[in-house]
Amino acid sequence: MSKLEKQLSEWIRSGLIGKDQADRIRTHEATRPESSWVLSGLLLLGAVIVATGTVSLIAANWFTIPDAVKLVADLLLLLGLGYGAFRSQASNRPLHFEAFLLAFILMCLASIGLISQIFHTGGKLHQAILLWSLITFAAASSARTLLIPFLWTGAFLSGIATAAIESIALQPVFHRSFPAVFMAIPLLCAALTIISKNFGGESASTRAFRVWTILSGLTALSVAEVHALHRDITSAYFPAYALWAFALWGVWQASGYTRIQKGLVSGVLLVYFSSFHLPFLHTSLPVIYALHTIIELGLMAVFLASLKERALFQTFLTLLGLRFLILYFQAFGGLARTGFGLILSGMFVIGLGVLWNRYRKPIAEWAESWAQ
Amino acid sequence: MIQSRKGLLLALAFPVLVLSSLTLYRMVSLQTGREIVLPVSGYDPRDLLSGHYLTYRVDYGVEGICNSGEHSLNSVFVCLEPKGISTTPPENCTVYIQGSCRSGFFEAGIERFYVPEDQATHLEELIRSKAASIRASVGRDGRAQVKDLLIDGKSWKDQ
Repeated sequence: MSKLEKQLSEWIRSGLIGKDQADRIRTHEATRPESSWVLSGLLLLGAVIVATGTVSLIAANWFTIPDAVKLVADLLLLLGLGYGAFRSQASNRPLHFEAFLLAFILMCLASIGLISQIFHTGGKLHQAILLWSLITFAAASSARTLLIPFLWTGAFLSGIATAAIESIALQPVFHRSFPAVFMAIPLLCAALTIISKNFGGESASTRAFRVWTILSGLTALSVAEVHALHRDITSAYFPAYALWAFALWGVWQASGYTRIQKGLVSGVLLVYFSSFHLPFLHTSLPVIYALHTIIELGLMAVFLASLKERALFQTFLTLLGLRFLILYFQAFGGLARTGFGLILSGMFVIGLGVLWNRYRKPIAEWAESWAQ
Repeated sequence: MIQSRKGLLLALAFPVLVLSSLTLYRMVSLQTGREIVLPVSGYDPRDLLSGHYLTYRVDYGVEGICNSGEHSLNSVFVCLEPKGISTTPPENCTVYIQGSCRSGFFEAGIERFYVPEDQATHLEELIRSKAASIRASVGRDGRAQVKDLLIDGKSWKDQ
């Protein structure tokens, strides 16, 4: 039974709609054009595969073909893909536009690889990625769907994180400190989200930066816990401090959030800051770090609930449950205890699942009302 | 973010222009620089983006280039005629190479030579067993670029 049929049956049973209305809905849905997400997915996947194949083909190094021929062919391919993207947008074909744009952007990376190969440049991979990020930023920003900005941001962040650790120029700033770099990355994403939202509104780029803020934030929290005993050079955190202050300012400047929502995000930022500075307070107890993460995840869950982002709220709640489970293993030891612990934890998780399934709506509504 | 056709045109043209300029710059540097030959020794790793390459240590004929005590240095100049090291562009030097010290080793961006996938292993063996060197082009600013890999004085393509 399809999702629509299930919903219609439920609505008829609940007395919300009659059979006639259900039939009219069925007819309306049947006459609508097919959802294009399968087509768009296939087009974009195809573009990624073709571009990856081109990178691989270039990497094979066809030394019998003269360099000039290779460079001209590469340039023509780039121009062709760029023209395809431009024409698709002009003729209002959004799917074709996204596919051409993705292929064009990936082809730019392949071109950097080709130039590097022909002229034997000794550059590092992160340098190539950063150059690519710089020259394709505007093109990636013109995308309408999340995929291209999401890929672009992921590549940019990996490039900048590697550069912060490996680059000689940035070594006096970050002192090759992993926690300092990992602390800065989600804050950089948050800053980019604020800038993108102010200049371009709720665009695909803004959404991509926001998604990466959450993903890199979760990664950074794990790094903060792993590096619990690592006491770093304080000055390595200066870029993160600047970004942290900017993010805090951006939250309080943002329109569309209530005071309590702004307070919740500020709380998230404060706890995040604290997570990276526990080693300086000579605290190495895993429980303290775990509590930090739990408070962080809890604050985020309430904030997301207040925004009515139920899917994300549930994700954070699941993460919260998992963190509690890991805390159990951190706090206790021994085979017998672990065995009992696992059984109890499993039952606890099942119970939590059953309770959640029964009361998720009232819990979500309570969290939403609490934050408003 | 970019809504207008003009904006999109600029966004698409910008990477093409940058990549074309980069290619042109590399071509001009290669043609106008002074040619030098330096002995090398090395092994074969792999690069995801550009394929197989041989990486090697270049023998500049100058001792203790990165022995100044500092682990990493952003700007180091190695003078080849007469031999010498400095942290600023050397005066009275016929030809010098600009690079940096990384983990105690001097790097001038000429430590890689891209080779075809099917020849990588053979070339690796050659570079280990015979006298290998690189032919490079050095600009007036000391930036060097590799032109060819030589095995016993002959281009690798003639092996």
